[in-house]
Amino acid sequence: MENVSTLMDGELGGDEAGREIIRLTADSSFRETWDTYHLIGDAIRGAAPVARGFGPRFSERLALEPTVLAPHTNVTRRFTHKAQTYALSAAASVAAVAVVGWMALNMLQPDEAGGPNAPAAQLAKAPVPAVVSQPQAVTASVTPAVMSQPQAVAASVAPVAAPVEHVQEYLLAHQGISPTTAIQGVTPYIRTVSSTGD
Amino acid sequence: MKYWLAVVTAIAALDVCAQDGSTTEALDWLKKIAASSRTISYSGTFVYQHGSRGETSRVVHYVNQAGGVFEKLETLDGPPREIVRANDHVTAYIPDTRVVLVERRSTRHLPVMLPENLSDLTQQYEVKKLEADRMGGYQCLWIAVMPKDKLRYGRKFCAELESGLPLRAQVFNEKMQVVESFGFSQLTLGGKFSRDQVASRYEGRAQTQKWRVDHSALNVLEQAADTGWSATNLPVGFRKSMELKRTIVGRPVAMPHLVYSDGLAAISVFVEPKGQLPAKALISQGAVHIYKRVLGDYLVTVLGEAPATTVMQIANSMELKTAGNAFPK
Repeated sequence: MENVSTLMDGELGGDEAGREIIRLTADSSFRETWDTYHLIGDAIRGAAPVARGFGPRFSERLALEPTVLAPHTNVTRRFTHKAQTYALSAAASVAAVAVVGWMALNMLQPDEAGGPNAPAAQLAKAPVPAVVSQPQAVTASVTPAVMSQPQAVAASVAPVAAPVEHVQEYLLAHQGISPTTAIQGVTPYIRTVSSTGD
Repeated sequence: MKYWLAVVTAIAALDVCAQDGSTTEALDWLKKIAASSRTISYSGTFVYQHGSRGETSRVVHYVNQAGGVFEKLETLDGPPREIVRANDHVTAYIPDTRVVLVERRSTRHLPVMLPENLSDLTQQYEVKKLEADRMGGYQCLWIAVMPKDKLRYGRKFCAELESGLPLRAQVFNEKMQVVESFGFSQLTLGGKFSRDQVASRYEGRAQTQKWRVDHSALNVLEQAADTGWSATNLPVGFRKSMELKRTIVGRPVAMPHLVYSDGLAAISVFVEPKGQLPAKALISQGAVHIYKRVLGDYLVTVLGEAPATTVMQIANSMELKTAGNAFPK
């Protein structure tokens, strides 16, 4: 995954870039990652097509979510490099001043029950704006760009902010049965209440 | 010709024996590492790293004479949080939101390193002793548990020589990049402890300020429980290790909780009635991936310390066989 973002940012050297490009054409999961990152970047820059009504729905959801972005000079770069490396923090309730930093790809499209699915392909459709650090009021620079482009798009693609609340509860339950906890004691529980530390 | 065949076979057999010998030793170390948590007391500061982020916390771990284990973890960076464990009760205090999460683990289901788990483990992983090292003033030995395929993560533990306590634990992806690590930056083994040291400073405040308390409870079905759910296409090496019905923190209704394991990595599956916002999401932190999938009227949440593709494969292979008693009317 890291190579995708470094390739996108033009940080790979000539030979390595060449190899990665060849891999990109051959490896469908690599390509999907590529697509995803580009879509995220596009969404941030306001260039991605979004579902009709996305803007108002998004702002509604955003109003419910206490999510803020840390001040950062290059928001796009933040998404491409940190796509998988945000920490979860205490996000116990909607009213909370919680800090949520899990990176999520989310779609509104429910599965057809029982059919074999290709989640990897479908993942390459959803940009995610929810990224936070300390609970200080910072304007989310992503939202205006996205909201100003409510264009019609195929109904199957409906990206929205990821409902990342309640992840803690599953994690807490999981850690109770995980061998990692047997081996390492209570220290892995830090994951349950981790914060971004930005 | 036959002679050479015999020689080659004999050498091959010797080779296997040698391998078995060192693998056995490495497995013994792994058992020692797992047992350390129930045998020694310690306190210190550790760093949890995931991706490029690190978080420092203080930990106190106390084993009393009766074998009861008491632990406290308090974060030192960012908003303060504390996690307190007394045997099978885990309580998380989150002052910023005035929330207390209480998780009760069944001691029957504590994932001890049982002999059967270990034999699973050696089929999917190569366990090896590596070099000695020194951390925080203590000598330790690196033990590597490396996967034989890309469906799981690799681990390395540096076991303190006397107690087996893992001074550092690392999780590797297929590119041998560290996706997550826990390491002590300061450690004191042993010492005199008392229950006060493992009590949360927020306990009193939580009561007087009436923080919200969310409980979970394990409700283990008596037989090899049948929630009605099963996985039809498990990744190689994973098999069902648990099937329970339970509540989780913040959810009033009991739900199926299935666990699939390959001996070292565990992946949990939770099934709930689909809520208002059907969502499919893949979210990640360090070695943990969480994938949600809507399946008919249900929301299936799968998470574990394994690559995202493995978590997703399990999610995609979940099926409701029968109504079971997953959600009794």
